[in-house]
Amino acid sequence: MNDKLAPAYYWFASKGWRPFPFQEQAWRAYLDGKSGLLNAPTGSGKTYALWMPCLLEHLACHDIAEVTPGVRVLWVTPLRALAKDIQRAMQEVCDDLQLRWAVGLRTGDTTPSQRQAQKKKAPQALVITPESIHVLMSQSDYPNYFKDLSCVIVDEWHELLGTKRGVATELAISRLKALTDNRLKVWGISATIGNLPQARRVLLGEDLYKKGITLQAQIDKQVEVTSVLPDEVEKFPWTGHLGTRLLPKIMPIIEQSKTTLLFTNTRSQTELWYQAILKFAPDLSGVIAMHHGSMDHDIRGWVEDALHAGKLKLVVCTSSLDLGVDFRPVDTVIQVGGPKGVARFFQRAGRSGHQPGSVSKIYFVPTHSLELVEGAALREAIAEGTFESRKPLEKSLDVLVQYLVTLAVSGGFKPLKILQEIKNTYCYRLLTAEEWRWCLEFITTGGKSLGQYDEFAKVYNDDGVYKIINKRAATRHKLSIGTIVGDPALSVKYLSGGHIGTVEESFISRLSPGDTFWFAGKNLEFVRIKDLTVLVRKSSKKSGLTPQWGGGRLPLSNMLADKIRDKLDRAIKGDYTDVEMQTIKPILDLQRQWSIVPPKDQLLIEKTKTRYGFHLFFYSFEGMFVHEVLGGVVALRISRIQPISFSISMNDYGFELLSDQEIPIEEALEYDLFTEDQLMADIQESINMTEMAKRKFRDVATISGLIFQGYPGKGIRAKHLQASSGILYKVFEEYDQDNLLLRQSMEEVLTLQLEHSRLFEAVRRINQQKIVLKETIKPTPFAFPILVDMFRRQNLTSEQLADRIQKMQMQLEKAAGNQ
Amino acid sequence: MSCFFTVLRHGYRMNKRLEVTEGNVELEVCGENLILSPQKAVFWKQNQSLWISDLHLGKAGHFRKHGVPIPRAVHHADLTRISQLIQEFAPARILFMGDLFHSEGNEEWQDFVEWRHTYPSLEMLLIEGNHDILERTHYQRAALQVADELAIGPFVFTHEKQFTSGYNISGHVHPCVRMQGLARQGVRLPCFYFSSDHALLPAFGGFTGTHPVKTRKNDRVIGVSDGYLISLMA
Repeated sequence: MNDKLAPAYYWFASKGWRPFPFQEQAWRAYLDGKSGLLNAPTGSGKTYALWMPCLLEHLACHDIAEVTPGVRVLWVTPLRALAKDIQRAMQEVCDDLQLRWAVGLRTGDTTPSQRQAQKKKAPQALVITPESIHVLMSQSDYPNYFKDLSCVIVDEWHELLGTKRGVATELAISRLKALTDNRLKVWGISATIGNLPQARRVLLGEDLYKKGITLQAQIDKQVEVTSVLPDEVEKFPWTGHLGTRLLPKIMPIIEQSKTTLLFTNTRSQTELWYQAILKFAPDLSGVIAMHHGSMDHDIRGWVEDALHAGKLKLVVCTSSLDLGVDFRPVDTVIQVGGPKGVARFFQRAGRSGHQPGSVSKIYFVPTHSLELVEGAALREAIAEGTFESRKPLEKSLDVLVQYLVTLAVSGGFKPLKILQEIKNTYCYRLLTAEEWRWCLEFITTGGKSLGQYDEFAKVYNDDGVYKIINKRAATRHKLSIGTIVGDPALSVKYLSGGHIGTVEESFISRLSPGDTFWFAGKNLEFVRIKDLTVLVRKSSKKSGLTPQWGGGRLPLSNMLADKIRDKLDRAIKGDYTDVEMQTIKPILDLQRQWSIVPPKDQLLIEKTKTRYGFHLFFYSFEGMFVHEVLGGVVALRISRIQPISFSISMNDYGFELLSDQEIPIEEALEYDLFTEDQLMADIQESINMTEMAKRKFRDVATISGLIFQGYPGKGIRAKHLQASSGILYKVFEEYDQDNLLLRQSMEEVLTLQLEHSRLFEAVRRINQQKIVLKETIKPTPFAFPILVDMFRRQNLTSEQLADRIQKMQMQLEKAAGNQ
Repeated sequence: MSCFFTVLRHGYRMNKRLEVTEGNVELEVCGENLILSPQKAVFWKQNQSLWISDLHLGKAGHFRKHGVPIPRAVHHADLTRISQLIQEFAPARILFMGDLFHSEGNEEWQDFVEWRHTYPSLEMLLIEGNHDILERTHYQRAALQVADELAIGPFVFTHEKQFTSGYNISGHVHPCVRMQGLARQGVRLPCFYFSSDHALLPAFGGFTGTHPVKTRKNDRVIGVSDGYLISLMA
């Protein structure tokens, strides 16, 4: 064995490094033919832990000069932005060892000529995205292309787990196993999450996971969490306001650091912070950049390169920089606003301090002072090592349908064989015979409801082999593999030419020509829309809207919510050891004076009246999504006592019902407002489930090929073939109720959107709590951030908004001072 | 209970008064009496004509041909709805305001022709729309009179909105109105739209989308939802 490892030691020595124990373990396990999961953070040398043994395996039984074409290793990465860097690092090892392996790159960005070259002479390793594997599988000679494959390595598996791209990865692996007579090794690399054993099971599949191993990189990464504290806490905090006011405290941190990454939670926040920082410290211009997913690919690439080269002092970014190879110059990370989850925060912290043994420093900037509780909670969770789980998806029929058509395009498939394969994936291990039959029917006859019509042309059952004959349908399918689903995105371009990025249609539709908005750090004037392109010109106006991109807001994780309740509970008992808790003591004191700070075993409801109407505030600390639904249910149940209409607001800590008439809460509580009886029925009635399912159906319909999004980048759509997912949903709902894709959308709403298991848990917990109803003269410090959420939805400019909230804040502060 | 009324019961965040009617609404336009049906059609009393816009028959077949399985029953339901309207109003003629048929001929056109011949005495006129690409002979066999534009009384009918000497009535855009509900919920309802000089009719077909219309003061907008008409008062 040691002989086999020699080249690796030699290479490490040539770099002046010594392998970590986990790297050596991985080499040995791999050479033993094992599969498994490596739990290692970014920047720990995880690439070398698994890439090295791929080469060692080859070198062990081949002469170094003996190199034949053929793909041996697939290195799967979730982001194409990462692919280039990894490919470079992998190629470098080969070159150093003088092994003439080529490491190819295969993503959506790979040019047709490169693809042709890869087809003609297959590189020995491919760095690839899950979608691109499926694209390769839609080519007729793919079994031959992959027959020499010895390993699939899935990088950043935690990012794919729980997504449909993760399911696509599972399916691809199931096929590749069969193509290689089950000799294939499967490895994953994952950051720390709560359910690592399950992560391994999902990746390796039902047939392999028991034999697989989990390796842990025992690199004790020290993480130091420091909250940036305001000098004076405002007793009436509101989101989004405190953050930039803390700039005088943040700038010294940036100045003392070599390179800082400043993470915000949404793309629009990134735009706002970039503006605010430039305004505060104009001398930073030139060494500050921003990075988010809607910006043009080339601009992002430029930012990444500049980061590598150490040319930038500060990059304002979103999760778009969560992943990827290390930016070595980065030594400081700042997180603005609650990251809403421990795992995400920990991962971001890891973007700094790469040198072994060095401490990763992360600063937490609250956007309102109450959020400081989150800082304390995060530190404790990291110290204890409690992380969120990522729940894998089950039975995603849309992905299965897409996969089956892919196989039908590339020469056809035999159902029984494929069924055996997919039953070995975690996702489809419980697939019923009926569901399987439905999928086959769906792609061949279009389903029962139109079985008798011969016009439908997709997949034919050709003597037991399912094939596509219609060429156009095949082309359309190939183009739609891996289309990114989302609100239709329009590309933003200057009138004079030059692509800047993409925005969602829903944002642009609210603008009129002449309006200005901030994008990619520039103030742009909207000129007109033409062929799915937003034409803009530069504007010198100082104010403007900031686009809101969908999917921006994440709810507080279960784990973190629990920690927050815990922190408050301990504060009530006089435990103010955390500096964050110490800082917000004045808020808690005032809250206690006007109402109470609820301990863990109590649910606080506050009732108050303002000039806006009658308010009820419920503090259940369960995260936004749960509050959205719970608010709807409570509103519905109260309206059964007397006809009354509400507007509902919420944040991660609680929700508010506002009405123009007095709310009969006392009576409602007597009738058992939170009963679990009829809860599901009430949820269905109070929120527009059909509407939500329709929205989910957009993804489902696109993935399963019901909607053709057009030719990528060209904005050309199939003539007369446009139908929104909403119409399709309506049609199926009415004329094809047995359509399992509809059922899947509803299922996704329940499990993913409404987090219904969490909702039921929340209601169960509330039922064990003592309900405390407090009537307050004015909105309390806890109520204020929820209350002002109301203004936010009124489409005010940010100046008007700030103005209005501050006025209210001053009135309340005054009232507090008078006591 | 439809999802729409769940939202309605909680109250709209709109500065407009809503008037909900179950069934038809009568309206006077240019001194003529129009009856709006929640089936997304209009009956003009004086002229004894039934107006139907944007049926898009054959769209399901067109999709099926391209591998998207849309049940044919969609269009059967459309024709049944017209039959019901014929029974309700006993019109002397039907005006199809364009986009009657979505594509080249397919079996669904035959379905329409058969249906049409069950009403031999009923006059049917088609204002040609951008989707109506069938050969003229098809229309002849279906006993359909075809025109680009039609003026009767105070009205000028076109498929797409045009500035005409009379009060313009058109379809084409599939107008809808967006209503904002609570907790970030909203619904889009297909609608009738009447301004001072023109009107837009909702798309009749069951397999059609909608497009929001911009409304101005004094416009009359009447949304359609599950057998109800919802008039918005500015």
